[in-house]
Amino acid sequence: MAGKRRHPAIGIDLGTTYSCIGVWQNDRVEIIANDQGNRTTPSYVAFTGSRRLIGDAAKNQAEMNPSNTIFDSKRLIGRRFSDASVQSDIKHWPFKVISGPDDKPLIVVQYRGVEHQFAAEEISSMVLVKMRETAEAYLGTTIRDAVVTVPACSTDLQRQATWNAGVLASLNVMRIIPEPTAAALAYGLDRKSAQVQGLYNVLVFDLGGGTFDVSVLDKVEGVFEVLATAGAAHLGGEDFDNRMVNHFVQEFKRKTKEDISGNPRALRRLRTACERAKRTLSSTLEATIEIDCLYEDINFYSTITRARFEELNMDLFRKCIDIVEDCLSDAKMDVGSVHDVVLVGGSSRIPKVQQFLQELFNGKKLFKSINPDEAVAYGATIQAAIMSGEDEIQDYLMNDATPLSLGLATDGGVMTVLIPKNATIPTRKEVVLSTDSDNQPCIRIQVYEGEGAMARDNNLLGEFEFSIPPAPKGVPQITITFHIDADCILDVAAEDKTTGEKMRKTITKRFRLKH
Amino acid sequence: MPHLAAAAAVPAARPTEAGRVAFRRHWSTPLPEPPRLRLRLRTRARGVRREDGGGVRTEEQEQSQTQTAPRTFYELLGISSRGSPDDVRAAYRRMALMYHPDVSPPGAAAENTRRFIEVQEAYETLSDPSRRASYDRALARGVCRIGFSGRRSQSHRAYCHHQEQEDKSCWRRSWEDQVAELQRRSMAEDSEENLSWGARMRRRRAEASSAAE
Repeated sequence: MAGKRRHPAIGIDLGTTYSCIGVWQNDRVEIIANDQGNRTTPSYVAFTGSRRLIGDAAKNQAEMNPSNTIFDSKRLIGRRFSDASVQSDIKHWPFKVISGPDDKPLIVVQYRGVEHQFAAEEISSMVLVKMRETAEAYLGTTIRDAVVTVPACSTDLQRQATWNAGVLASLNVMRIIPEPTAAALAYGLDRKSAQVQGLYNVLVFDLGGGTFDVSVLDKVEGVFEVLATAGAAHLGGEDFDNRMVNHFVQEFKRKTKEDISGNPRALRRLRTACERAKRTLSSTLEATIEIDCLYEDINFYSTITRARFEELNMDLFRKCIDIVEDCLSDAKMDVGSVHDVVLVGGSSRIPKVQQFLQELFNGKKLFKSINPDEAVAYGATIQAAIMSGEDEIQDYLMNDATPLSLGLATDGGVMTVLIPKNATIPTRKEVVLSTDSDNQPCIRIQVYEGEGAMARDNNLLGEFEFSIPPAPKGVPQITITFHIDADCILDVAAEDKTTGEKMRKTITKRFRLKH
Repeated sequence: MPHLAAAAAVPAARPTEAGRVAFRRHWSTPLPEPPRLRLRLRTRARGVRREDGGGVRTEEQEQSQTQTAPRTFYELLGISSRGSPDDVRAAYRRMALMYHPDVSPPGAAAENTRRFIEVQEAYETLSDPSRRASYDRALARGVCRIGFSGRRSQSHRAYCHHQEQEDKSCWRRSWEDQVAELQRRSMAEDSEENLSWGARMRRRRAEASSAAE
């Protein structure tokens, strides 16, 4: 919370493909470059026979060490091995993922000649350590306090795992905030509208390397409020790269009759070339692919036009626009009411994406003043400054919202929502429940998270049983209260007002470092 | 402990119509009170605050807080009851800048979070035209206010001396419902549902014998 701190607080964009770090210094946000001079750092960790590499060094040797170079750990964090999305991802990764205790995915690597297994949050914590050390080197002092970002539609488990990664990295995680919310803070501080009175509606379009998020927010008197959020957990630059990789695998097969789809090293080199070509195509109409000895002694030279790239990915681009429309609908807003569209994430630079977005908003000029790669870290740093009580940032605030609906399993397994998606937090809501059979000795409180109408289609967050005296069905009056604090920590309480009996349980787990 | 009807598994609770109705219950305007009654109410209020973990306050602070505590959503937001939707929104954001835990001193975060939630509820009610209209009608009828769900018992104990009677009324209604249910079931004594397993078996055997004859 507010109050001057001895050490500066930082904001970290922990991205699927790249991470970025900022610090509030000299009354503004400074984005910090790493030891390679880059302002973004690949979210890569590599294990070799002699040492562990993180960031640029890890990514640079990926071609030579594909099975022990880990990326995309963010796609595993807070998920189960049996999740459909995890199973689909595993097919694309050159490194090995197995099922650990409680269906937790574990990444298997050879490190110093010995097999090791790491949880996703351990890999993410290594990236966070790299970011922390980068900041400490720049500032010349110890860093502890940080705001870390997550995709907007993250589940409670994903936020918790991200928090844990921060703890493992010796950080005091002040807050976990959604990426588009962070970007909105960056926009608000940068925009002259900070001085404009009245209502200002902003749509944040965040298309990164791995995930896609849209948020609609409004801003009045320096206070942002999240009105609606939508997104896709698996839509971004890597998906566009995959389409190109598949395209060239087919081309290589036509030309040489050889299939490289089962060759991790060849695929890694091809993917790197495709990523580079994709970036080139944002500013030119054609790009070349040149890879010597791609497979055995066969060289591979080819070209791809921007038009072809767009054709390969057209359905994905349209999906982005559909999600934008859904988000506006949730916010009960039409395109004409949006004052600014803010582009965030490297993939928002793709010309066809921008064209579709401009068409949707009737030709409106898109907001591009902030570097899309840095906007999230910029905003996370602002949030850290707000919570640190920085003088220059007072009269500035983000009212965040719940990413998913929260409720109880009731009669017949129906999901009864107490706190709907996009409710401003902190908040408190209650409902009165009763029994559905005579002399029931207790009721089971099962707390779920998600948008399904039936509880079983949602995530079970926690449960407990509440004892009550025998009575005919429908007679007991049990008040259930949900309280969510600013850290998105959920407390659930049950009370029988007839007997005065009470019980409560903290559903969301957060652990803090002891100083 | 034997039950008349044992559930195979513990079923989930279900929402009740009574609960929903109760949630929207209104309170009447307090009547003028004799000094002794007022003193007793103040004492009870102080006890409630102490239970909340707050320190013991002086009489003067007590009086000041009682006098300045808002009675309506409009007063809570600091606007007139004729404020426009823009006024409501602007007032809410100004209040957020005061009470949101992110901008609170560490020691005040818990109290300010409670205030923030109250302000948020006021904003949600007054920014929805239909809910605002319902609220305004309730005010016009002389109702104190639609209670804050998170603090109903505490706030109303301070302002509406009928709260205690209301609680008793709820309990009495509940008790009367239970008695009625028990009476209904005793009159339906012939129903097989009320019999023990053994009694049901004996009755079926008797009926089978009659049928056989």
